[in-house]
Amino acid sequence: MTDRILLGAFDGTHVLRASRPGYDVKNTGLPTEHLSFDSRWPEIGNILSRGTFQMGGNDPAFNYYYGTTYADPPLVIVHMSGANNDLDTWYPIDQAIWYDFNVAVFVFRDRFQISTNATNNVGSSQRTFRYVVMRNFYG
Amino acid sequence: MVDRVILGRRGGQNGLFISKPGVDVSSASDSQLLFRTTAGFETLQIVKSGRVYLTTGEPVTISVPNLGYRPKVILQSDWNIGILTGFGTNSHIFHWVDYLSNTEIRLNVDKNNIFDSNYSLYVVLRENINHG
Repeated sequence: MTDRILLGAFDGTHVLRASRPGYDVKNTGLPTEHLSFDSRWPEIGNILSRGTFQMGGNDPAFNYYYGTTYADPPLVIVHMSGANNDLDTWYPIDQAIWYDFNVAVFVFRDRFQISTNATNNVGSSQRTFRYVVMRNFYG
Repeated sequence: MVDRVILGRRGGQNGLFISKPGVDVSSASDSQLLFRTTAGFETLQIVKSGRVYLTTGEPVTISVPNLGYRPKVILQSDWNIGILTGFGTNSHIFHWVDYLSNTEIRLNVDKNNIFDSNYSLYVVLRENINHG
């Protein structure tokens, strides 16, 4: 059976390290995608907050403030419900969807902002948005 | 070198605590911890990931493990080096998912004047889409 947990001296330092099933944790050249955890990583994607809100295509931009100002913008994942607030359909939202789909998320150091426009596909009806803010930073 | 791992008692709590590189685990604030097992600490976990051939009007249904809820999905085009070959006028692209059940998810894309390989990448997250 492959060794998968290592706590102690390794690769010139001390680590707590776990590999994925089938991969030898002692392999210093193991790619990141074959590791479950390594204490040398600066972040592991822990969640700072999550929540939900609704807004329509004609509403002003929605701002969610983190409650603090980070040195760099955090990672924010936002999903929007389907047409007429269909909760069986969900769109992952990012900036690239702005031009023809007319909804976008802008991530700042102190907040993220959702902007919509009723023209084209968003429509004027309310949509549900669900978000996760994570400690991984873009900076 | 600072101490970075405590398995046992830290302050008034028992657990596994790992600080970020360069930070003493015994005095680290919550934001200076890379990992802790105590309440309030969550990480985003990936349940499944993959690459699918996906074109406009031809959705692909994937099966996912039954988590007891509808998991969030991130879906985007695979535009690795050399795959995106061009844009036309009035180009657009967006992805979305339809939940057929907790374990069956239909992946969709709508593209106009985007010239690529028609492959998309997805990850299924251990996050309930219906919980804010």
